[in-house]
Amino acid sequence: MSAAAGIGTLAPAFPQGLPSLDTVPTEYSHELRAELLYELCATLVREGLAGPATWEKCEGSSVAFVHRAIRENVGEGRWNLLERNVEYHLSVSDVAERDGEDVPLGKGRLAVTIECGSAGYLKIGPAISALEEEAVGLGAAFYWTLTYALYRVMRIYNHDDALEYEERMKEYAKEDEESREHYEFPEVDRALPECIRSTLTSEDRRTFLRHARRLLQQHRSGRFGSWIEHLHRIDRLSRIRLPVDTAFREDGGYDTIPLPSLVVAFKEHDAIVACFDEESQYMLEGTAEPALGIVFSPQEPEEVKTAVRMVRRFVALNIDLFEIVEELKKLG
Amino acid sequence: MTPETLIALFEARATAPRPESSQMLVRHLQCEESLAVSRAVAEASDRNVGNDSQLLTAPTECLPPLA
Repeated sequence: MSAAAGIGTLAPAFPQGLPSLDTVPTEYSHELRAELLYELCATLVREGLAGPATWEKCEGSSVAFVHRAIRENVGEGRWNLLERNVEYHLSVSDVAERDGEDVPLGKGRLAVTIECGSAGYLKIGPAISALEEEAVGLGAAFYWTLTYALYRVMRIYNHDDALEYEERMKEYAKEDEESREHYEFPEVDRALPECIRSTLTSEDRRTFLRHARRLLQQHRSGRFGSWIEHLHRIDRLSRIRLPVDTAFREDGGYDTIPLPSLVVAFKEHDAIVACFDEESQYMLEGTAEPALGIVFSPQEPEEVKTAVRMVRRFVALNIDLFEIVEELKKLG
Repeated sequence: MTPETLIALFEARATAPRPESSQMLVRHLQCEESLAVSRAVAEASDRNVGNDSQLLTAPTECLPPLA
């Protein structure tokens, strides 16, 4: 066959042809301070947190082994509960943040951190009303006991933050003579249920909380016993004394305290939610402390045990918390 | 496999020398000059791809001209 003028055959036989890509690597991996990873794997086995059955599912990958070990220890159902309600990121790393940069920890140490990417949401108003109907003061007792328990272990966004935000807005307005009339205030006080507003300032908070615990105890086997049981466990877990790794926080040079793990509002779209919507726009601008951070050496059994206890407490408390959140969601 | 043999396996891995390919990559990632060169190549490549009027010419030994 003769080629017509101006027309060429595509890819005529050519001894060299196109170069084969078979031998070109499509990914590269490298190991730096990999001995720490293997020491961590060995530690997980020594502590009984993982074993041969887990290893057999990991196709020889140590990273997959650690990942699977953590996931199995949390438990599938509990893992899914957390995923449905909040965005936590758990990492084990040989570097830590120092003034916005990752710096090796050195000395064979690792850091376990849990960061919150997106807060959970608890609409507690209907539950407070139901509890107050059951017994006067029971709703307030539930709210304040939960609030103080969570204050001990995690950052939350609630009426307190909203009131502070409103206060700041009022101060800005006072200083801004030219456009003072354009300011809108969220009126947080009006969003609070009466039983919370009337107990905002109590002279003897310790006595108030003791009385609250007694009241909750009286209703533990009542209609709302399940909520009170969760609350009791959260309160107990929050009181476990664990060493606080202040160096992790102080050396980190973070711009802010941890991002809230939970927003507590009374109603849908109430003033607290409105304040959070405003404030959350700026929350991701700087670096925030992790919700949990602890440095440990895999070769030091005591340090490993402490790190495991801290993560276990964090997970257990969050499980109870988000079980309450899901139960209260059913109230509408 | 028992937990003890698994621990021994990880301990052996922890002390074993890293593969040469891994060591090369680590040396590259720790070398400022090497990183600067790879950044320059990546940026040049991005600029070329982003500019429709300046196509990369195929090497003649790979693609023969049409008859």
